[in-house]
Formats: sequence, C-alpha cells, structure tokens
Amino acid sequence: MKKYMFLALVLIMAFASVMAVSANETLKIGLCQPITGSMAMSGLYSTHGVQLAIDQINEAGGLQVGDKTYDLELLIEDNEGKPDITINAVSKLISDGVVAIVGTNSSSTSMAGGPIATSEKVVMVSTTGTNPDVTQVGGEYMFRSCWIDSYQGYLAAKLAYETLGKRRAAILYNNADDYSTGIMDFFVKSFEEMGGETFVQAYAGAEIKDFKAQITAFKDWEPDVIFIEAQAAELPLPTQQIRELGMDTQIVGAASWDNELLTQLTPKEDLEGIIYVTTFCADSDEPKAKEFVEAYKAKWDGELPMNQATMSYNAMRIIAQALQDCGKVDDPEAFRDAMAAVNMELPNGHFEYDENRDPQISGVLMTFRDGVGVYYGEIGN
Amino acid sequence: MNNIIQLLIYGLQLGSVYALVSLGYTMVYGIVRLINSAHGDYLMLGAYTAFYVSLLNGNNLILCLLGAMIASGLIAMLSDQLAFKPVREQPKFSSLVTALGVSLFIQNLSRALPFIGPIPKPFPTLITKKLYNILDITVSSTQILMIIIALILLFLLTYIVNNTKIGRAMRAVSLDRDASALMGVDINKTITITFFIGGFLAGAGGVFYGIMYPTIDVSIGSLLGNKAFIAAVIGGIGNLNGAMIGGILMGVIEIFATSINADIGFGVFYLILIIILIFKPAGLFGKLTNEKV
Repeated sequence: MKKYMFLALVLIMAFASVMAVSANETLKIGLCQPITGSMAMSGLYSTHGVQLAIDQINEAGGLQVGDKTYDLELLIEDNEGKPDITINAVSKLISDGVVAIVGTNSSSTSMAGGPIATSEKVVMVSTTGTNPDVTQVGGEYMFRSCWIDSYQGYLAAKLAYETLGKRRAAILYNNADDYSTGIMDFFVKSFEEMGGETFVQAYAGAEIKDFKAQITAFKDWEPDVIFIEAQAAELPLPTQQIRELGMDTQIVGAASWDNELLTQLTPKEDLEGIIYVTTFCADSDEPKAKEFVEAYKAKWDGELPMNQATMSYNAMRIIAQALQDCGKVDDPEAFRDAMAAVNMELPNGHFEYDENRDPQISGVLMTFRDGVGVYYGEIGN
Repeated sequence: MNNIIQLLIYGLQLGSVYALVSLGYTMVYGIVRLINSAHGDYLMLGAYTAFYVSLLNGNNLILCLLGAMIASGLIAMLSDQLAFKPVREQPKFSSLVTALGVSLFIQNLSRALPFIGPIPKPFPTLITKKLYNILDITVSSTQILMIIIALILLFLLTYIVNNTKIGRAMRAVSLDRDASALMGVDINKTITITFFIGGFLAGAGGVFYGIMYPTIDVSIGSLLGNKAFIAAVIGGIGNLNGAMIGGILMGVIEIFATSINADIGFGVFYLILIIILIFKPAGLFGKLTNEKV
C-alpha cells in the first residue's frame, strides 16, 4: 500500500514539475515591509494587496514581457519597521535575484532602503512613504505608489476652488507638526495661484484643545470654506468648536480625515457634509475600483482594502505594467525608464509619474453622511 | 469691541475650569504644604467617571457631575491615605516626589485598565447646546451653565471654609498645624477632608473639561493641572480667593493671547508667572511668611 502511495506521489510531483516547466518561467518580486513589530498591521495589509495582484496576474496566465510569459513569485522580507533592518532586508532580496521590490510603508525606512536598491539598479516602490525626500534620497530607482504631501495640499486646494467654487479659504493648522505645516503651505500656495484668497491661523501643538480665538478670527474674516489638516486625533475638537460657535461654513480636509477614530470622536451632526480628498474609497462607483474591492474582499475573507493595501496592490500593478512596457527583464535601465514613463489606470484612477518620480494620481473625494465617510467624487490633475 | 466681549466670554468659561482645579491645589498646599502634581489626574478620573455614569444613566448633567465629583474626591482621599500620609513627617522633598509618582501611576494605570485604555473616548453631550445671539455676540447655553455652576461651587467652598466648623479647623491647621493639634483639632481628619474637597472640585473640573473639549484621554489632566498650578501660584498659593481669580485670569489671558498669536497663547502663562513673582514673590494675594525650617 505504502509503495503505491509513494508511486502516486512521485507521479504527481513529476506531473506538476512537467506542468511548471511547460508553462512559464518565474520572475521574483520582493516585498520589504514590517511583518512584525508595532507596524505589523501595515505589513499584513501590504502583503494582502501585493499577493492579490500577483495571483490575479498568474491566474490570467502570467505576465507577458516581450515574447515570453512569466509567473510571478513573491519573496517577503521583514524589516520590522526599522531603517537599519531595512538595509539588510533589501540587500537580501536583491541577492535572491528579485526584479523589483515593493516597500516600504514608511518614509524613514524607504529612505534607508532606497539608496541600496539604486546602487544595485533594482527598482523599489515605496507604498506609503509620503515625504517628498523619499525619492530624492532613494535615488533614481526609487519610486512610490502613493502621493506626496505637497500634492495632497494641491488637490485639497483644487477641491475647494474648482469642485466647490469657493474663493475665500480660512486655514487652521498645527505649526508644531511637519505634516500639517507642509500641507498648509501647499494648500495656500495652490489656492492663491488659482485666484483665491487665504487666511491662515495656527495652533501650537497637539496638546492644544481650545481653538475659539482662532475661530473668532475666522468669523471676522468671513471665509466661504475652511481647510483643516493635521493628525487625525487633532481634528475632532476644532470641528466641534467651529460648529459650536455658530459657523456653518463648508469644511474641507485631506487624507487624515479618512480615519475611523475621528468618526468615533466627533458627533455625526458636526461631521455632516465635510468633504475631504483621499487616495481611495472602498465604496467608489468607478468600475475599476469596484472590481478591485470585490476581488480583495473575496480573497481576504471580507476585509475591506484600506490605503496601505490599495497602495501595495497598485505598486505591484505599476511594476507589472512597466515590465510589459519595457519588454525585457534583464535591462534595469530600460525598466527604470519604463517605470518613470508608466501611464495607466489603477483602482483609484489615472496614474503617472512626474519628473521627480512622484505620482500624479487622481484622488477620491469623500464626504461624511450620518457619521460615515462615503464616496463623493473624483479629483485629478 | 464685540470681539473683545466674545473672547472675554470664552476666557471666563475656560477660566472657570482653571479656577476649580487651582482651588484644589491651593487648599492642599495651604494645609499640608504639598504641591500635589496628581491633582490634574483626579480631574481625568472624574471625566471618565462622568463618561461611565452617562453610559449607565443617560446624559444627565447632575448625576454625572455628582458621580465625577464624589469619585474624584474619594480617589484624592485614597491617594492621601496610601501615598502622602506615610511620608507626611518626612522632609518636604519626599512628598513632592511622591506626588509626581502618584501622578504617573494614575495615568499609566488608567492607560492599562481595559475600560479606560490609551485610545481617546468621546465625551457625551450633557448640555443641549443652544446658541443665543445678543448684539453679534454668540453665547451658548453651555457657557452660561458652566459659569453659573462654577460660581455656585466657588461660593459653596467659600462658605464652608469661612462659616463651618471644619472650615475653621482647616484655616487653623493652615495657620499653624502644631498649635491647632494642641487646641484639639483632629489634624488627620482635617487633611482627609481637604483632600476630598480638592478632589471634589477637580471632578467638577473634569466634567466641565469634557463638556468643553469632548475628547477625553488619560493625559488631559497633566497639562491642565500644570496651568491650574500656575494660576494658584499667581493668585498666591494657599489663598482661596487668589486661586479663583488666578484661574479666571489665566483663562482670559490664554484666550486673548492666542487670538493675537497662537504661539504666545501657551508661553504667556510662564511670562506672567515670572513677572508676578519678580514684583510680588508671594503672588497677587499671598502673604509672605517666613518658612520655619
């Protein structure tokens, strides 16, 4: 009996290997993300996103590059969310022969890994490293699938000026926070270039709870739109105080508003109608987005794709597209140029890079209805 | 002009919270010469008590206020019994460090407790907000009610201290502890009651804080406690009227300074503190006494 089992096994294995040989060659893709540590959830979502893209490509018969078809294989290296470990992880992936690396999720680790990838001429795509310096420090092989902070500020200004037709913008920002300050700068610059007027009020740090003085100044200036952007936990109080002081001016924001904690901490009636620009909305009406959300939910037990998963999925899709455009797998320079020239449609809209290898992706507008963020529209260049 | 009155109202609202907290500081200091840095944390626990009272009994302002005040009062008493009493006869430095320890302990224990936890919680709406517009000035029902309740509590406290037996005992202990013990005043009981009243007021401060800034987390007490302490020092630490006026002054100044420049809003406290201490080292209402070492 045992003998037959063994024989059967050998037959199956032989058959499988024949199958594999008769089908495609494999192409290795690296994933460098925090699989353990305090950012492990990001790593998990990222893996889900990339794995989905790879499975879709393989199930469709593989990736056609030039006149050959390749099956994609994912190699995962844990960077624990730390810059020094990222350097080792990236080196390991490169010595394992990956053609491109997806990762990492943070600006600091991307800046650590990027220079290694560039010196070895391997394309690396950061998923959510939004700091403008990521592609500067990382070098010419460093890309990203997310937008950068300045572009986000520009899109928010466009939302206020073009989509909503507002002309007088009051801005509240945290002058002790780089993220908030950076976005404020670009919002003001873009809004004024478009032809609007701005009025800026600061608050000095995350521990500030009282914004009544700033809001009183807003009231005097009579804005027709208010832009607030800071870390998500700092958003509920100014929002509530603006409404409490009797201002019903339209509030707009950026990606921080896409946060579950925020909706728990702010009363529904105060959030109602606030519009913000973010990268992706799971209940978007766009067919591409719907298709992605359905596929993702089906693969990962009903889990909804969040920002990290979407950006990782996109990173993998961008790499695949660039490989196809380039037509070869053994010419890193041509591959890099193809990456920079990529021009495609992704679940969250149109995607292409500017001269700094920073994406000019379209954003999604969301608004709060009854305390829940829902799809509002699209916004692009 | 309208704006100035408008800012003044916001300042009074904020100042009434500072006043409630700085009163507790000043009372405890007056009686046991202890700067109790854990005072702000009683406020935080009061805010969380109100949160849970409203969860169980609906948004009832009076019940929440009472629950928070009693809980904070009891915790203040407990921290006195467990932490401050054993070091009371030690050099002052010991109790100062103990107070820092109690503060850190309360904050970190709360963070570890599953029903408080590190994630901020939304404070319930205890007062239905109504806005009144008088001559371009917006006043909300919340502001009016908060200022009124704060005034009632302040009046009650003044009455207790000036017109009751326990109040007289408190004043006596504050003046000279040994002599009052010889006169038959129960020192320990007086100190316990002082802690309770201090915590009681901090609990009310916690509810007011929650109403004003409806996001509560375990660290809300530390910064507020810090500001209230400065208010108490400016008013003359140990002096009740001084603490009240100091608190209200701080609230008003903070709002006005912020309206000029957001960065000044915060630093201006310390500037005023320094100026006042240069010209009146005992604070606005304090009497300079020679400390017996």
